[in-house]
Amino acid sequence: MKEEILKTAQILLVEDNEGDILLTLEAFEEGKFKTKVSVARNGREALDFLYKRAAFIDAQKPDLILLDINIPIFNGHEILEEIKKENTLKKIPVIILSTSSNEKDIERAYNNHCNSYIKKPLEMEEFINAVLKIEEFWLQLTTLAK
Amino acid sequence: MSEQIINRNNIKISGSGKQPMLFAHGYGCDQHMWRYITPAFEKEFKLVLFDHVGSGKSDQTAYDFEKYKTVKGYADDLIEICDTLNLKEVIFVGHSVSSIIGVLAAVERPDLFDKLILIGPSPCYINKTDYVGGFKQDDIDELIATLESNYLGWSSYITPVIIGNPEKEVYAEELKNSFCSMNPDIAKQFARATFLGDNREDLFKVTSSTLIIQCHPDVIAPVEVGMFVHKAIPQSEYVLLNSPGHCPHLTAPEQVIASIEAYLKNKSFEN
Amino acid sequence: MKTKLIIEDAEDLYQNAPFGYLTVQSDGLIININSTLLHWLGYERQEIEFQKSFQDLLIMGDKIYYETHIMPMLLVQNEIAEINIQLKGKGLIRLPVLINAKRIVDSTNQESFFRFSLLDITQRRKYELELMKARKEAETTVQQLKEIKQDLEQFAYVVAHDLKTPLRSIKGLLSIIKNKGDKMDNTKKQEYFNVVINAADDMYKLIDSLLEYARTGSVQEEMQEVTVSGIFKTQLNFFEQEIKKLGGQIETHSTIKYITVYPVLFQQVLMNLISNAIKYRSETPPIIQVTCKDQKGYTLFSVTDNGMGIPTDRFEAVFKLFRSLNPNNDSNGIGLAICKKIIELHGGTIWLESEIGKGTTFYFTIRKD
Repeated sequence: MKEEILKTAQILLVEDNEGDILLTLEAFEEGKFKTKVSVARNGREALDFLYKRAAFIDAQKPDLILLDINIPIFNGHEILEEIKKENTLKKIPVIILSTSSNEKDIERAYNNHCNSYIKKPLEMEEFINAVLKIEEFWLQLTTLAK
Repeated sequence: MSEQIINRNNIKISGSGKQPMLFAHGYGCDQHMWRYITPAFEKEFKLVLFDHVGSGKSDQTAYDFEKYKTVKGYADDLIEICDTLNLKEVIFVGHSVSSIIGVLAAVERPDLFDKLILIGPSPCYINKTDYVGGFKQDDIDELIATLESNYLGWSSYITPVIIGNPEKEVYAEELKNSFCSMNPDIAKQFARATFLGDNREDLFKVTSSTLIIQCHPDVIAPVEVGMFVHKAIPQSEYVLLNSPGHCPHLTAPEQVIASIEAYLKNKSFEN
Repeated sequence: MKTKLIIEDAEDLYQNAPFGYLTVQSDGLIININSTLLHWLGYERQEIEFQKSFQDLLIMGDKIYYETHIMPMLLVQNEIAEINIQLKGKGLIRLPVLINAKRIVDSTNQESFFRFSLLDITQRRKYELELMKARKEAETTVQQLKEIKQDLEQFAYVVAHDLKTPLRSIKGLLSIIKNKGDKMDNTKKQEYFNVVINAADDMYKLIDSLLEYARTGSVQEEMQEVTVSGIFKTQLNFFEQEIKKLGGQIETHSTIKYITVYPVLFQQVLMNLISNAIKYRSETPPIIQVTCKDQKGYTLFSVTDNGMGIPTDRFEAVFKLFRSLNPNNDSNGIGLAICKKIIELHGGTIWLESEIGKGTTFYFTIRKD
């Protein structure tokens, strides 16, 4: 096993649906990697976390970001744009995890350089499975930039 | 590209001459209107006939209600036809609304046109202060109302059923009434573009030498209108035919041919 | 036997046939007209023959049609059939006719004449107009059915999708609680149960809204004349406190005194629009203006806010069922669909103007009669 994944992977989950937050946390707990998942419940919290501001002054830079689109204050598109514009953040893979199957959302997300767009499965088992696959792909198979 | 435009406007080329003579039919009908005129010129000229989009056997699917809202859309097509076929020094022959279409094209691209021959031209059909167009605003309102209520006279539209070889020019029974038939929605839009426009200003910008052929009496484009066009276009000649109606190329083709021939000969002497 | 022959002579057959006949020169001048047609048009013979041309009997549209279609066709094809036009008779007489015509060439001087036969189709015209009207109605019905079908598809979609989202939470979290059993500490369990209960509440709300939308079409209350000031007062009473708390303000202005509406439904439209204006406010405190004025047979209302604004490409979508811009923001995309339905019940339309970051104005009209 590679050295870097032995350390705890930092994951930022930007999501406002409490049920989905808990399910995602459970899925990561079930997964085989050591992960620490931080939750931002709206766009402002997400930016505060990334820029280590306000309540998130001690935040660690995440290795992976899971981002919902329909979130309060700043939506997922705006957050994605900000991340990919910012030199210190743009290497972090951003996975869009959204209920939206709107073509315009998908198009816009890829135009803004999201690393993948995943539609939230409606069934609980598939949802957990999706999170596990994300974890496996990005934390095991992929070599991330340091 | 060129094939697309040839199909779009149902372009037919004939004649054994070099200089192109481009015939544009007027409101309501199609290139068959020229059948009595063209034989007189096929030896000396290259004859180009076409149908405006929405008329005759043009590609109906190319009809764009936005583009053809005004006659400008047809003028753009005309320029495109000249460019596509690489026509130069064109002698343009236009009837009725096509006269104005030709004028607009010649103002935009004077390099393409040698001469304009305008049959029954009218830059504006409505009477204005100091201008006799032939129709009162009331007439126009009535026309619009008729169009809006889809008066059946305009929609006596019979889809042409062409039996046999479509290449062959036939005026058989099965073509009856189809030569002037038009999709009613397109007919309405074309009527609006034709009868509501005011292109008087454009006449003054024409630099090509021009012949105006006027009928008497003509209820659509009265003599006053023909005279107005003559006065407005700097280098223009005016012929008043001894023939009533609005379609002298059908009612008095020999007079039309004689006028055009005289005009063209005269001009070539000058050159 | 003898009388019969006289009556059936050619001249009489021409003059008194149950058909209109006329002959014109190529310039349209009428040189012959039969008695039947004269009678139909209300003219005397000497008023027509060599006095009027065929075009004089036509309104502008048909005049153009005559010159650009009928004549060219006659000249190219020598005959035409079943052309539908309308003749102007004396005074206000209007006669819809079906014409057939034929070109006749005089063998002595080769001059062309044109013989027209005209069939009175007044009854048929009425019938045609009725057919046209019926067709239009049928088209409207088809359109309405299409919209109803779309609504139904949206219903199906919401059941499949929007209801499944909270259900996923409920099932997911309950399974986790079950699987972990005693391994799970009590506080965490309580937290999970709370989320499950909230998700179930969401489902209730969604189902209630769906039922509300479905019921909106079948009106129970009566149309009533009410004062605009009364309507506005109700809204102010409801929202003023909340808006003041946010540091904002709401103003109303009307140049109209009375409107006739379904009062409860109508109040609901304003209520939905104003609460949207509050819900989708920007960083700055909400400033909301509600106006009412006259507009040609309609009364025009507007609700303007200084909120987040709506992207141009969503202007139409927002009025559709379950296309909420922000589904997680305590909204389920039904409010505006209900507004639209209510406004349509009042014979009006609803639309919006908006600029991102600047605010939104919703406009709607209601018919006066």
